[in-house]
Amino acid sequence: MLSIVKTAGSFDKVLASCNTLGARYQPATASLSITALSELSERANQSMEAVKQARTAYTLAQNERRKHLSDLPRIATRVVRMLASAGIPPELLEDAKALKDKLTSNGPAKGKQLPGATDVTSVKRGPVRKHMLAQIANFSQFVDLVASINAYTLMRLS
Amino acid sequence: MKIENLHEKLAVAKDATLAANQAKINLDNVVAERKQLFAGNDGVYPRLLAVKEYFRAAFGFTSSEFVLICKQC
Repeated sequence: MLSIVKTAGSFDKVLASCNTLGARYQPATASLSITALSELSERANQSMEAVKQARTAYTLAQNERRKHLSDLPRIATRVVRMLASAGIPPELLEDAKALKDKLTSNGPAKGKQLPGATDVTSVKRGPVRKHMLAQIANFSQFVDLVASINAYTLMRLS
Repeated sequence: MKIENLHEKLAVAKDATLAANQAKINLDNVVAERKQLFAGNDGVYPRLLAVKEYFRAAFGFTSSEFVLICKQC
């Protein structure tokens, strides 16, 4: 089967040929009449245009989503630095850092061994790409954690 | 960065994700409609073949009309 674009192009050419034949083109079925073919051609063109517009809208929405999601790790890093400077309890800071690491997808630093690891190959690495919904869920947890820290809410922030 | 700003950033990211998901659903729907229009029963492609068949029956296999249609399909 031809591609959609080629099919549409062929259909228009065939329709033009039918028109050229004039009275010699006398199909028995109504669905092959010039009127029916013209109507179908118009619907096909409208459908292709609709797909084109929907694809453009999706691309724009994807770009917008990427832009907003890419902000989250940077913001989390900034907040963790502020928390560290605020002198919050170490366990809270570690929790915040863990969530921040999930957002940045860096995992443990290169070459750093986790407790119990015996060799370098067992170093756990963070995933290269986090699913977008997981990114949002992690940031949501991060915000909830930060909101629960009084020292942060009491800081004078811009 | 204030807590309110963090909540706002989160809300914006959520909205952008929802908007992208909705745009993907819209795209999938119009692509499915187009597929139905082109490849479905009595769609563009079957109609094209039917016209070609009509040309062969009406004008003959070796006619210039049928040859032209074959080139166009």
